[in-house]
Amino acid sequence: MNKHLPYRDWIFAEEPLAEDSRRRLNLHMDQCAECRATAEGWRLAKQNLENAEFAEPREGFAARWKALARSRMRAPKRRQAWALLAANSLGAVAAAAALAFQTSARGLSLAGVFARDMTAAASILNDWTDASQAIGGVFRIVSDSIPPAAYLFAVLFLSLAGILCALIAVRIRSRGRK
Amino acid sequence: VVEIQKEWLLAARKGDVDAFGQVVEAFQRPVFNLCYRMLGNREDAEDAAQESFWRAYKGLNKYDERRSFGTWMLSIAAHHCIDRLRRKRPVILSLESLLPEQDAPDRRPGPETQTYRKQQQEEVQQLLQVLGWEERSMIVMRYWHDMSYEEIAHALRVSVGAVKSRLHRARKTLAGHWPVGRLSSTQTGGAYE
Repeated sequence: MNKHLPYRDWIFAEEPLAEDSRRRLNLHMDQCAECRATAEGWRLAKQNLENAEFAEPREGFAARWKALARSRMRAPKRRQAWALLAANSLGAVAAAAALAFQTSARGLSLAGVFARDMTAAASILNDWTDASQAIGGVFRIVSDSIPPAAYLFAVLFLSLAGILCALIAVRIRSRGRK
Repeated sequence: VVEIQKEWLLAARKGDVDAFGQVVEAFQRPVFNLCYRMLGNREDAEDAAQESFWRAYKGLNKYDERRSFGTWMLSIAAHHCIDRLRRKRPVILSLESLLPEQDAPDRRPGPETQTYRKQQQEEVQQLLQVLGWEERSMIVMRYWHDMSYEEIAHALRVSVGAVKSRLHRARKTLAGHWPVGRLSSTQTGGAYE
């Protein structure tokens, strides 16, 4: 059996000891140098822990934290911008590679491929202009055949329907919150 | 006792950095002190304290308002410091290197006393390094921040029994390592009170 028990527990106890325990501990310590040294060591260590001051941070700690927080919050946006730039650069490199491949595979010069593609682009633009003119013609025929009063009625009807929908949406949302 | 206004936390939850800056202002001292006592140097303590506040800011939604904000904050700081120490390689210090070579000076007021006190603080700081990470955090919470066993248990997510037994072990270690042989005559001896 450990001869230092329960004295070691009493030495480190935080609550004040009962009279009898204190007397027994003092009697034991009179005879036990080891426990005496432990008690003294703890008494001094505790005294120093209790007297130890708070370590203070350098001046401007909170300001430094705010700067850190703001820079960390900006970081995702910066990352996003870099990712976009990288994607664009990759796209440009891929397009250049495709153009180079096309040029070399067909034995064409770069200027020849460019001229051919420009002609194709002009032709697409021309077709698009024709198509938009045709669509515009259809709209003109429809608008000429509808009387102005019907236009006015349609505009008023659609505005009222829009306001009604907005009111219903607000009401549903406020009920959901309750 | 550090107190904060609820409005600061409400605004910080909505992303107001300045509002949380007020919280940082209020808690910088205890959090920095814990980090310093845990890590042993001011540079690491500064980094760890800043990071702890950042983690708290990002995790504000997890804070339970029924509990003390200080305990929650110190819990984050203690866990962060323990993580940092785990990542570091352990440093083995010889006990001789922890203790100053000179005798304790007189308790005279003035610069000498201030130097003595500073030296004593350094000794305490170095002595803490002989404890394990968890024991160290418990000692700091108990003796610097006056936290109860229950608060320490909650902060470190361990049982109250574990706190009591580890603190007991820590006290034993500190008692064994304190330089009893270097005491001045006024500090030694006496019956147990």
